[in-house]
Amino acid sequence: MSGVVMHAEDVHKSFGKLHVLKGVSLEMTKGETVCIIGPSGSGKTTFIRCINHLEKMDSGRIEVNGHLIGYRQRGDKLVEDREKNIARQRTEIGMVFQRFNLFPHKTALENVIEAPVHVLGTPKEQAVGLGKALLERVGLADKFDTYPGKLSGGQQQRVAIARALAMGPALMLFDEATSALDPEVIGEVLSVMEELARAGTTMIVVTHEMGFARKVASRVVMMDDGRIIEEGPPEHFFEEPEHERTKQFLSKIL
Amino acid sequence: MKRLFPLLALAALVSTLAACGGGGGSNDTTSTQASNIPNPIVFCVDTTYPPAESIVNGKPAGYDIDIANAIAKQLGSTAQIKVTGFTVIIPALKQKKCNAIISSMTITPERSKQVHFSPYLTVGTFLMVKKGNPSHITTVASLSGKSAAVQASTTQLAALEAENKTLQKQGKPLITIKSYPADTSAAAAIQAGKVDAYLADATPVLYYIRTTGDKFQTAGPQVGIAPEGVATRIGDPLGPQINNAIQALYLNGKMKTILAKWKAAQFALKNQ
Amino acid sequence: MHGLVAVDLHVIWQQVFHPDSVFFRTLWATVYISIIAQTAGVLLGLLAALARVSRFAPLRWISGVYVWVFRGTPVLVQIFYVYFAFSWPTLHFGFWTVPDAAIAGIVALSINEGAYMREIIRAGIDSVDKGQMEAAKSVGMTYGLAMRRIILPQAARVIVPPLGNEFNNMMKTTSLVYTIGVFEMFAFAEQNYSQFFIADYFLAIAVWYLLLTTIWTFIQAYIERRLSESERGEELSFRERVQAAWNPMTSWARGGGG
Repeated sequence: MSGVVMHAEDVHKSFGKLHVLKGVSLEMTKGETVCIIGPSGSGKTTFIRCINHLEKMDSGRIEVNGHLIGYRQRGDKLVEDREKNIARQRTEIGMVFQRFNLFPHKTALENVIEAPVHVLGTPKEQAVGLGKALLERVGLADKFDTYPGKLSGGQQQRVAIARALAMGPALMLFDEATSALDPEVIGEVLSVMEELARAGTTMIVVTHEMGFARKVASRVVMMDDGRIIEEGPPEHFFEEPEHERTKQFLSKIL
Repeated sequence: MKRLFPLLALAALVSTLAACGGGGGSNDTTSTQASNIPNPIVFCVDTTYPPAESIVNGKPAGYDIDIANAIAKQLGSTAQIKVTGFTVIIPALKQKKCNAIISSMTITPERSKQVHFSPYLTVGTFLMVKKGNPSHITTVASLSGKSAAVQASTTQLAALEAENKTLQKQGKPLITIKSYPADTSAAAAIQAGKVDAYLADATPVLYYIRTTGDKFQTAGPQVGIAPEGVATRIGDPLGPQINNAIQALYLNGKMKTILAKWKAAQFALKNQ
Repeated sequence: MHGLVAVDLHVIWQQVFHPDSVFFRTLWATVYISIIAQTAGVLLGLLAALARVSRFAPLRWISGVYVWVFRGTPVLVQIFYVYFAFSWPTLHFGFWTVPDAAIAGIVALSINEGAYMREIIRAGIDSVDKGQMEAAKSVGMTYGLAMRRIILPQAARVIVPPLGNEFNNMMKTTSLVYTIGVFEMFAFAEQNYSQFFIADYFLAIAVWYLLLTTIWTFIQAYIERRLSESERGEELSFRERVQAAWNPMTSWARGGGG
């Protein structure tokens, strides 16, 4: 089992009467970049939010780095875990949101070092050094002391990526990271994500950017109506999709 | 326009009445009374002092209320009770918000400079303490180092403050004075165990002792026995008229009847 | 016409510009009662707001009943009840004595204020984008840590204007404790009035209340400016903030009492 970073088994989730995830299973090894595509309502976002327990699954099992996420084994039942443990599990998983969610009352650098200092207990100087390096890596070396209110959308999202990376997570989740961006700045964020992928970051990317998926993904996963209906390497996936729905979907957007 | 006219006339009538009426300061003459007696005679009363004046079933009641009604009737008029806080009752009279004050007001030299008094009762001060007198209180001086509750602007408060000046000169511990705008709050303070003694006229003290079962007693003798008076503005002819009315009420026995009803017969004006 | 009461300028001059030590005692009483009661009220309101959204149902219920009762009954009734139903100590701090009635008054005013602050704080917390809590959690913060470092600091910006109005009201409401025998500014004026029959004593303390509330308006404006320094957009200058705090229209719109 070495090298398995994320293991999701038969995940079900309903919102009231709406059965959104109908038994999703996925396994990822280290260094993989998995792109999840599919029509809206297919459950893509819900699924990755279950991975870091921002949504509580109804049944199923998710492990990241060998740790059970969100639940404890009690006999043969799974019981919801304590908040402290869940918080600790989340330090291994980084998430980048569609709407950035930067902390507006903190500068870019402060956003990045906030969690390392106050969650991990990293000494401030060390965190600042790490934070500056990350901001340089995403191309924002001149924006350490700028507040999010004065940054463009693309810049904010790049800070958000640096913030997630600052925790040194084993797995990065991108929830439609470019969907809320103006077209001109989508590229700068995608190129950061591409650089991460090439550097060997294990990441799941929910996206509509097919060009990105084709270029960068090690595996593409298609979700529809709460299930994974097809997955495969991008060459195969985009050239020779097998499932009817995949073909339909791709024909509409490519 | 046709429907409007009666309304306008009514409005004009009402506003005229309101402008003339005021708080009872005007002299309304009607044919059946002696000259200048207002009708109604408005009495300012601080209704936090049973049995003399308090609120019973939502209305002012007590012997001062009955006496006010009797005085007014004696003068061929009627009485109207205006509830007023004791700390502002003399200013209220001076500002013509009422014609007279009947509120267990002790006649003092300072007050006599401000108002005219028509004496009608003789009452002194009692100290009220817990049954058994655990703090061994006998006189106001024995309150040194202890606490006492009184109503603000009363002779009792003045007495405590004067005693504190003396105690200060003697280097003895002062009395902790808790004074409240309403006497009922002072009475509540001793009932809640917040003070060692409550000082007030004998009338409410005896009333509280009687009505709270076996919880309280007086400490020491009645002190500062002095006449209480109905107050009117200096120079107001109503003052002497009230003097006459009170004398008449004693002569025809009505005063004694009222006092007996409220168990206050012992406080009749001496020399009557 | 009852005649214009002549304004006694001498008394006003005396009381406003050369107040004596007795008056300062009462001014101090008004100030410390206001500050302590408002601070405690904010803390109580914060607890009640957090209880309101707790997963633990009895906490939610307690918070609901607390606010319902204390917003639904007159504060004077609460002051009387707290004072007479319980016994309170008198505290001595060197030269400063806090009588039992003042402590009772502070307690009653704090509890009353907490009921109003809960809604203000809750509105403040709700005004923070839900994504903030998600982002905080996603980097491994617990609910408590996220509240303290991310949510409440942002909520503060929305809470300060109505809080300012609440404190403004508190300074004036403290006058009610004169009924339980606390010697504060109103009791001072009343005592002098009943002795000297000059209503200008009330006018004089009105001037002092105005002075206190005006000073507070400036402090409030300063706090609001500091909090919004990091926000892009409506960067009001200090003067504009003071004007905004004064203008009853905008303060009503911000949810304050005006």
